[in-house]
Amino acid sequence: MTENLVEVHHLKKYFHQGRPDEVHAIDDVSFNIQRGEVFGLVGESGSGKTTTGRCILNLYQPTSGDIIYDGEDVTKLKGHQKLKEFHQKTSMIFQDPYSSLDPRMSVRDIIAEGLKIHQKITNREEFDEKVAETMKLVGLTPDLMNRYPYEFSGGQRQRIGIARSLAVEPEFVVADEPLSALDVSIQAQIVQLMEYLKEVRNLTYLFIAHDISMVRYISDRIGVMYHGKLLELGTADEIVNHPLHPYTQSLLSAVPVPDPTYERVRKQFTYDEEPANVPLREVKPGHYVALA
Amino acid sequence: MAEDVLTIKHLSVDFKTLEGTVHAIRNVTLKLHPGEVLALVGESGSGKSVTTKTVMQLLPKNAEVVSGSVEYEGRDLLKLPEKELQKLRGNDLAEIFQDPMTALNPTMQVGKQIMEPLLQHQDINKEDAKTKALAIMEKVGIINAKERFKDFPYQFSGGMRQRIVIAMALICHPKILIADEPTTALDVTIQSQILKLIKQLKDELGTAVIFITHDLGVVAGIADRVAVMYAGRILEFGSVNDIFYHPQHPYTVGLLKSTPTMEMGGGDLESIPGTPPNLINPPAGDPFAYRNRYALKIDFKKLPPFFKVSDTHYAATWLLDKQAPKVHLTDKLDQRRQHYAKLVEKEAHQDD
Repeated sequence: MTENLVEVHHLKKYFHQGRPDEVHAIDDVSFNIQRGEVFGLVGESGSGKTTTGRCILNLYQPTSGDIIYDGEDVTKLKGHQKLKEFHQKTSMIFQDPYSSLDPRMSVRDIIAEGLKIHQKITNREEFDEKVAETMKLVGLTPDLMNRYPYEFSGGQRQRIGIARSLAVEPEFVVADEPLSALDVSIQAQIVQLMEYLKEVRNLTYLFIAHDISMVRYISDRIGVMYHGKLLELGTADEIVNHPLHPYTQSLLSAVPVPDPTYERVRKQFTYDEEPANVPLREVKPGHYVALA
Repeated sequence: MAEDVLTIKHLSVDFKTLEGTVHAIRNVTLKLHPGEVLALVGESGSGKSVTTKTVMQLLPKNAEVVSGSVEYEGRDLLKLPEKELQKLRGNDLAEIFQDPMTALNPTMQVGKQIMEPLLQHQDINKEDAKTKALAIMEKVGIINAKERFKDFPYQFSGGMRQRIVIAMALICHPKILIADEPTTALDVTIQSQILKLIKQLKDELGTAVIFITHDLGVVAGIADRVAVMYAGRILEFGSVNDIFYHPQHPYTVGLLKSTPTMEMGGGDLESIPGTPPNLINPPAGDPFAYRNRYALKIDFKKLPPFFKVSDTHYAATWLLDKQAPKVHLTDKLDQRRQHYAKLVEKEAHQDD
């Protein structure tokens, strides 16, 4: 089944529109995310990855373009009830596990906040049960429910962040650089956790990151963004092993390799051109590139 | 061989906190050879930064050096009065910090910030200091140095700010440079530029570098020697080839296996289960035993001494004891090594 859960059509998002400091954060980006897949979005800071994720979740109003989520146009959702339904089906995991958790809320309150807002549960016992269940799911002991964020390490905090986003039982999760603030050994743990959760909860992920080496482990397909444009799109395997766009090639060549002998001879490319303003075209089945 | 630039001996540092005394580093012994890059590798909280902060004497007030010495040019830095230390900091010993966003003064022109250590430490007039500052700005790759001298930090990108921090650190030609995760906050493409810059400058100036990181990919590219830290102790140290090709401690092996490589298949990534121990009551024995699948009974009881693997390579694990069972930890790493050996050969052919 190749049903599209999310369709992004010609998405544009300009900040400070009409002012001298107008920024074209996203400039005509189109792609689909299939139900049950992990779509990786890579690119350097300022390439528009996060803005894209936030537009899809209706946290930003796009300048133009459509975002179709499960057959409905997200940009045209009106009314409190409709929006609430949408926000219950989707959720987000944030980059920094230190600043994204309120230091004055206990772990129970953090995880349960979404449940309260969406009125999924009303009495306290059920609450605790649900929080405990979610904590177990992400590998935290429910005994820690009454503790506060400062008592946890970075990796554990990220697990709390993941538990919070999964408590409302969403079907689509935008993970915005969930690894970059963590140690490499902990990154591997979180990647494995996210893969496990995807299986047990039938999730679809948009996985945003600047480090292509971790993204490829979890992604089915990868999109490469640069200066607000989507330059290349294909299966993780195709992008990593047969990159076509010079920017993708430079991004791959910059990834350090854990082998000292190879590091000494490794060749690196730099890419500092402005990419040509051409639409994506299909070069191989499923592999698209924006090259003239 | 020339004398070591810096010798850290049996260093232990405690932190007094409300919950109890945290034994942040325990019995750390390290030597820094002239002109080399020594990488300190380990997870957050393993004591990498505490070690270098002790060298610089920049520890917070609740820290206490319990034992040990830090010898630099025949003097123990731990016993020097503050005035003497101020003469060394920024002049002989310099540091690059992790976050270039917070390491600079936002209300001061970057040129002035770069000049500051020179004016502080050397008998030099402002004109000459400015000339030198402009020279080093160009050297670290800031284009249009003359025009950008008067710019403020917010006008620079993250990578450019890190270049400014590096310029500040190197302007007095320090003997020792401490780089505390200098690329963690940067994009991969910028990271590779900054690493190249640090390598090139330390070769030019002959500076010895202590490089702190948790990313073994970065270590492979920059380090001459590596020390692996965990829960406040050094578990293994050796040349970069020793550590990557003949790792002995299960923790080093675990770190290497959890480092992603572009060539491995999807399911091959291994993580180290669990989290590091609480250092208020550090465990007896090998601190890594609780996360170690291959832990022996003795690992929980008795701290392993350093076993000699080769002249350059030592590891503190009971697996190296004569009575220990033989375990082979590194199948996957061997495969990885063969894979890269092939790539290296391929590159060599292309160059011919």
